[in-house]
Amino acid sequence: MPVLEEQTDEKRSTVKEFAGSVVLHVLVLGGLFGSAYLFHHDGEKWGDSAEQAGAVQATMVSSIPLPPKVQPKEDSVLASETPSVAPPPPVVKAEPPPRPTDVPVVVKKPEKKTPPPKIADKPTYTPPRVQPQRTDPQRAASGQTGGVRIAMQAIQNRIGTSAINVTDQSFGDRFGYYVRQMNQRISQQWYTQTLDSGAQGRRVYLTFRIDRDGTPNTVKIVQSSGDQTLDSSAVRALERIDSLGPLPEGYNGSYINVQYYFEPSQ
Amino acid sequence: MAGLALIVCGGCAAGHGQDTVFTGTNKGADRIRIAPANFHADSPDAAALKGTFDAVLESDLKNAGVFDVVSKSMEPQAEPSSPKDIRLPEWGGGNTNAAYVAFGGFGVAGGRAVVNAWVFDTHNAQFPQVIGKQYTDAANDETARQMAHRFADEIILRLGGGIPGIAETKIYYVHAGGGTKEIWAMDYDGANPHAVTHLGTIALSPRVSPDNSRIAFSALGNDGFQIRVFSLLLNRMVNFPSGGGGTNLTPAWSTNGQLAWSSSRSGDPEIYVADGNGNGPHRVTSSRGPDVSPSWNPKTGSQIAWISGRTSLPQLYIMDADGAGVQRMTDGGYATSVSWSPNGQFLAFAWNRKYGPGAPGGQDIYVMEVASKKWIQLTNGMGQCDFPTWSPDGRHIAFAVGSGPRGQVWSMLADGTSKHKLVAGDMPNWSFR
Repeated sequence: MPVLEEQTDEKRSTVKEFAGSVVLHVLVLGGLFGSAYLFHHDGEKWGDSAEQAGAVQATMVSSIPLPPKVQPKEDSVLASETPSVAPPPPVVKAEPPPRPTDVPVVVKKPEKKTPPPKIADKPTYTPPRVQPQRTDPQRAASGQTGGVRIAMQAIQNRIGTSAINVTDQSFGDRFGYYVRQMNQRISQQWYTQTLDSGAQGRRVYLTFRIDRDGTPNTVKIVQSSGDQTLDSSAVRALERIDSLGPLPEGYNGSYINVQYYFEPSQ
Repeated sequence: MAGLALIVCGGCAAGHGQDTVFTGTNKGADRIRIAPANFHADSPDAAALKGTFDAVLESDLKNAGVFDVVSKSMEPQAEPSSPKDIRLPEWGGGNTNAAYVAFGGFGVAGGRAVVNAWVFDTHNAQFPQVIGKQYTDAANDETARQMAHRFADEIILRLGGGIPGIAETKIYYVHAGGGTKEIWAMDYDGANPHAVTHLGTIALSPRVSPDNSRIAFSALGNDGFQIRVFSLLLNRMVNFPSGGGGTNLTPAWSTNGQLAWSSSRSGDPEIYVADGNGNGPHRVTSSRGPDVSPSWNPKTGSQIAWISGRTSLPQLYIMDADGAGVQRMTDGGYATSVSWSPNGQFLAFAWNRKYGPGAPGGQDIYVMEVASKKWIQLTNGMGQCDFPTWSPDGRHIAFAVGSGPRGQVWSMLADGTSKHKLVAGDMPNWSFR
């Protein structure tokens, strides 16, 4: 230890001091940046566009009580399988041979370019390609969701009153429109994004009661599908609904019992 | 495809207590296709009024956002006046291909208009009737319009999933002209615009009370901007205490009749809450920076969304009605006015996301889901949009484009589609019902 002290005392020089100070500064700065790097919390903030599992994620526009939009069909765009007949290529005129009387010109003539024959492109049918969604770097990473989130694959599906086992005087026969609009309303409120992949093809049966004023209540699962996600999504669909519309005026009962099943499409 | 199966159990306690309906789904739903037939003129002098009725009914169904309305040119030529005249296969098939048809007769007798109106289900030959209504009123253009609104609302309630229609609602707005700004009112479709106040001053941000009996607004007087209240029942101004002076702006009614507004009586604009007559005002915000534009949660009546400048640029916040539980909703930009959706799930607000010198972007209308704070943009590139206001059915939003004498009031569906201009005006407010 005394040896060291002696050395420092003896060999004090500006260069060494300066080098030491530089090293010290670098260390301090390095420590600062290093700790910032090490302890930087990269957690999710609200408004992040991160995927989050939960029923709330995709309810954005579906919860606005408007029916889901039917997406335009991809295959009905202009590309056609039967292209129109292509026009014939233009006839290329042959240059007349030079006459012997022509005095050969010394000046170098630029070669006359013959335009390449025009051939119309045959429109070929290309299958629509699904492009991966690219994020816009100019856009702040807060939680913008797609404009139209469809609760389910909305397929045009005219629901007929073509009921099976209809007996006279039954509710569905007499008030087919009510059953139809009830069906539509429940379909709109059923979000299938939360379903497991194993839920496809399964079916859960529920019963509930609709009171005179249209309130659905006493929702019960009669027969479970065996898939927890499907069961709970079905119950939640009904819990989201305040009213299914007052029962038809021509109906005398004070409530109706409904048996309903949910089956996710393939 | 399994499709939608309807298996209806008959004979289950028919006629008393309850019936049992078996039904199910595995596919989505589409818009209901409905054909509004031209009504039959039951008397020769009814033609003009009948034309109004037909046009208003068709536009109401189109505006509802839940129907696929058959164009009149696709409909059969027939004008059935009563159930015995209508041939349902004509309407349910072919080009019309409607699931429902609305039809009836319009007659005028002794200065009274009588409308018999039905909606029939075209695919139910045995029991086709969905709605059968009769409306009578004085025979003039305005009542023909109102009867069409009433019938449209009935159809929307019965077929649109149990949510009452908005065809009979009103929109209150600010009309600028001649150096003054007055409160005006109109039907939801922009028809029948008329002045409500005649104060000869600057009146701003009208808000109609939940029972449609009063309008609160902010008006410029000798003591600056004060909250003023106009009674629609008495058709005159009613008293509202000015309290401690200062600038008082942006009143907002809760569904249970409380009033919140922004007041600078303490020097800094803060949110105050009082009862509907202005009694017992108390402050609910207490931070530096302006707090303005409150909007109550209509579903619960216990939360307020508002705009606060506590962190320099104005941002959207929500809190409980007593000032607790403050949450910031927007992460940046410049938010200006907010309206809480009737089901309590969404906030519609005006937002300039890229605010600042040289920053691109304009002020547009956005909708945010309160629970997830996810938002969507509803307008784009149509000018400065501001003052969104939800319709009572939660399916529509009215808003202002531009401001001052060049301002316009527009309406759209809550997913941003079918935008259309209603009138020239500013600061719209949709009535509660």
